[in-house]
Amino acid sequence: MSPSRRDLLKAQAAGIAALAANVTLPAGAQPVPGGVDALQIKWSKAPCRFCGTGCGVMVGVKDGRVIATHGDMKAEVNRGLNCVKGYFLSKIMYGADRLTRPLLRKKNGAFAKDGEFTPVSWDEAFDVMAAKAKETLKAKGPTALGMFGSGQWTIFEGYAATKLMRAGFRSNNLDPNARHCMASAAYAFMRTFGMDEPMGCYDDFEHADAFVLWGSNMAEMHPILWTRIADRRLGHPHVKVAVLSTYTQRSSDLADIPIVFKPGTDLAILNYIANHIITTGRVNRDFVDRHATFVKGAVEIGYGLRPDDPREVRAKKAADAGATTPIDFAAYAAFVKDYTLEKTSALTGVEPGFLRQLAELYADPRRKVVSLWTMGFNQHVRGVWANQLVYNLHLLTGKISEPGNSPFSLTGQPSACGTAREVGTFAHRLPADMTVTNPEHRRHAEEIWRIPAGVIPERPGYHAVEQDRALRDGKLNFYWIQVNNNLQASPNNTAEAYPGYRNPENFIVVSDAYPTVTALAADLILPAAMWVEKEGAYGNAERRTHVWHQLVAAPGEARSDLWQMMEFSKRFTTDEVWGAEILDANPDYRGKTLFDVLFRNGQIDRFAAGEVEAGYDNAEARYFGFYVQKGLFEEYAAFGRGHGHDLAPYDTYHAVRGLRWPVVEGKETLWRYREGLDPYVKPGRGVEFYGNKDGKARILAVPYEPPAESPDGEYDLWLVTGRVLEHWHSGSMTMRVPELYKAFTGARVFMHPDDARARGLNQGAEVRVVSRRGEMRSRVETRGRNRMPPGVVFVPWFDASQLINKVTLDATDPISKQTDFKKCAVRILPVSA
Amino acid sequence: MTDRVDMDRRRFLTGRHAVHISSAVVVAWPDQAAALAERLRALPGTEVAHVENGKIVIVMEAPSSGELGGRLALIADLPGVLAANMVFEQRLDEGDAA
Repeated sequence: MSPSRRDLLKAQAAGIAALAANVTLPAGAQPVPGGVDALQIKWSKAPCRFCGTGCGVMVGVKDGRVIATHGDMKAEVNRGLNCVKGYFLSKIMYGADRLTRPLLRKKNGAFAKDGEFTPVSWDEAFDVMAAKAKETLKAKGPTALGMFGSGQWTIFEGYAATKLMRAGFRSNNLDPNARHCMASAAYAFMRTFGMDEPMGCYDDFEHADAFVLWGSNMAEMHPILWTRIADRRLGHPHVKVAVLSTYTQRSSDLADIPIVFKPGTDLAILNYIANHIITTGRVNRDFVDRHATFVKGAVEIGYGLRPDDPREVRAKKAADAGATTPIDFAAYAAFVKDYTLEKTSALTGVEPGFLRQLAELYADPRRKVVSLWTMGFNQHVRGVWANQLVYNLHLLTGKISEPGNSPFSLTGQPSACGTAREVGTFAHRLPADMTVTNPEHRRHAEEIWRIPAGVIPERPGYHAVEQDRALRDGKLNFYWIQVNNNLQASPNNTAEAYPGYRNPENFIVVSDAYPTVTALAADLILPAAMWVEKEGAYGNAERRTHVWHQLVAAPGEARSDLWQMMEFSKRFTTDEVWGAEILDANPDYRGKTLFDVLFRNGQIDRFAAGEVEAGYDNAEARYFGFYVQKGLFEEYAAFGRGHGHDLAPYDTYHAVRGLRWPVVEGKETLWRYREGLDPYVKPGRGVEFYGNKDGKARILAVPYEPPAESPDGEYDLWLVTGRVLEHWHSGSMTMRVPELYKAFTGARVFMHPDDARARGLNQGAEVRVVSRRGEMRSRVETRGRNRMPPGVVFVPWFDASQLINKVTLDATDPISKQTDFKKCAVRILPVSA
Repeated sequence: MTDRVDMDRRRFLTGRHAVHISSAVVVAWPDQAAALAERLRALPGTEVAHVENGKIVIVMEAPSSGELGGRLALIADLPGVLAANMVFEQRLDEGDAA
């Protein structure tokens, strides 16, 4: 190999990195104009498959296979950078145990719940599946039929699912795994602003003077965004970073104000800051008077446990957890007055000096603040409150809806916003922030969907944790899971989830690319196409809709989730699912298949298969004979256009690196609710929270309330679960990349050295993590990236061989129904004990 | 789970092999960047191209992309590293070198 060529390449590599890092290299090391293009690779753009950041990547395809990916220099989100996980994107589709054929549990040639997985044709798979669904519908009706989807579904898939379930099977038992991830954030947005999703965007990072991480570990979970924040901090010495967490983690390394608080006491810190803002006279009264109103929330609202749990029986307001009553500023100020520095410091275990410094970041009118949070707030038995209490701080000071002043809810899945929230795949939601309980919303959806009035059921369906319970109790009997590892992710899964999968009354279908824990507990496994094996669209945390083409074919007989739902819908006629009353009133719909009424409805099938961009295959368009994705997108977009959720024409998205909605007259919106930045704000209003009819946001008065379970004499340690840099969620993709597997091979119990010593445990010792629900084995880690305070242990949940969710508690926020995976009580025992 | 992209039978038999070159940006506190850069220089196949205000531009070389990514994961976990992200990657086959 010629050294000069290699040197040239290295100079090129350094030059591009310098460009991405925004530093200037000496002249000798500038990038080569035009780049080095030695390989015959076709490069196309796509968003990353992993977290909610929504980085743009360039995907290189050669001979029908993805052989390389790199950060997209044209993508505003990541500007050419690629995190460790993102770097290995090209390998996630090529694990050796990829599923390529439908697998049905069979015995003596027929389906049997206790049979062995046997390869079958798609026809046989769908025959058995349709028969089971019809049996269930006949015996118990639509409420016994359910589906669990994902923030990893493409927008089209989520949209097809919501149509299939609500308009097809007339069941609202549709929930996404985003319930475990974003539900608290979504409820808080609706309760505060009347409209979901952040007002700001990532551009806030380059304008802020302070960043406050509430329980988030962005250094590991959102490394690209963290790099942008580090860049701002290092380049501008006046910028301050506060990191709040229940233990010291990698993000703490950048913190000017590092805070470790006792689990659950963040609520008190938030109220203390509000009190500090008020008592030091720094409320922005003009802003508050014009743009906010005050409400008091119901208290003692329980923990979302089963109704016969003593903690629910004791809770006074469990049945009406979301109730609020109007109050005024004086009442609010009196309410937070209890949260003094002394009391808050004692409750939280945080140094008063740090608390005061933190409060000053918000109170100082000259400082622009970005607040950031993810699972620390959302997976919290008072998660909706926590989200709303941080909005309080931004509203009291008017630090909102302008560059650099931004309460920003980060997301964990690539389309938690785009699919789960915007499309409306939650058990109570419809597209564009509408709900099934509102008759006008149902009517509007039925009109857009061209289906008879009254088809969409009114009653919200089972949410995630309720689905597990209903499966176990035999109330939910036909269950289809797509794109997620539900059983590994479910809290208290030995007691509350697994029994439902193996309940002989139930038929469980799992669509996945790999044999996950969930797939192996199912009755039928359907092999799924993943990521760039299909045309897709994701929506990231900053309202950015990003579309990609199918770039390679799925292996074997694997098919996209979209294909699976549409093809399955052909096996049902309206007569079997809609009931006589609706069909008597609408005889034109009689005898049609669900495919006809939901997908070949004159709207979704109006774009020809030939409209797919030349040079790209599209398996669904080829199979169904029309450009399915474009049709679904355009019908879906009708919900939001003119209602503050405007999307651009579909084809535009193939040409750009995503656009942030609302896209009005071809222009994306970076900051919402402020005149001059958001076209929806009426002239002269300055700021208008137009999601609420009065144009104002709500400031909520709620207290600190303790977690559902705290350590005691018997179970003496807090258990916090979470993630690591190298592995994404349940590890079903990243554990199949050898280098990532090697980088973090198995879960460990991060523990304070004194806690380990007190139990006679050395670094690396094998232990049992035991709770009132179950136990798992792991090894002690007293060093490494997470430094625990005494009394708290951390265990990541990516490892299928160490299921920490056997140990966790299925307590939820009673308003959002999102599980608290961050707080329960355990004891740690040596394996020999 | 072999690295199918980087190894094929013909290449193996003829002894032809690929070199992967990539660059990454490592971020550290500015006062710790010089010391960290020294640690990075000590890693196999790793050169430091530039250090400026806490940002260290490195160029890495390895026989497979997997090894490069593994090295990036290792760097990301080093004490003092605030962030480490890959930027550019190119593969050079022996025959492509001219």
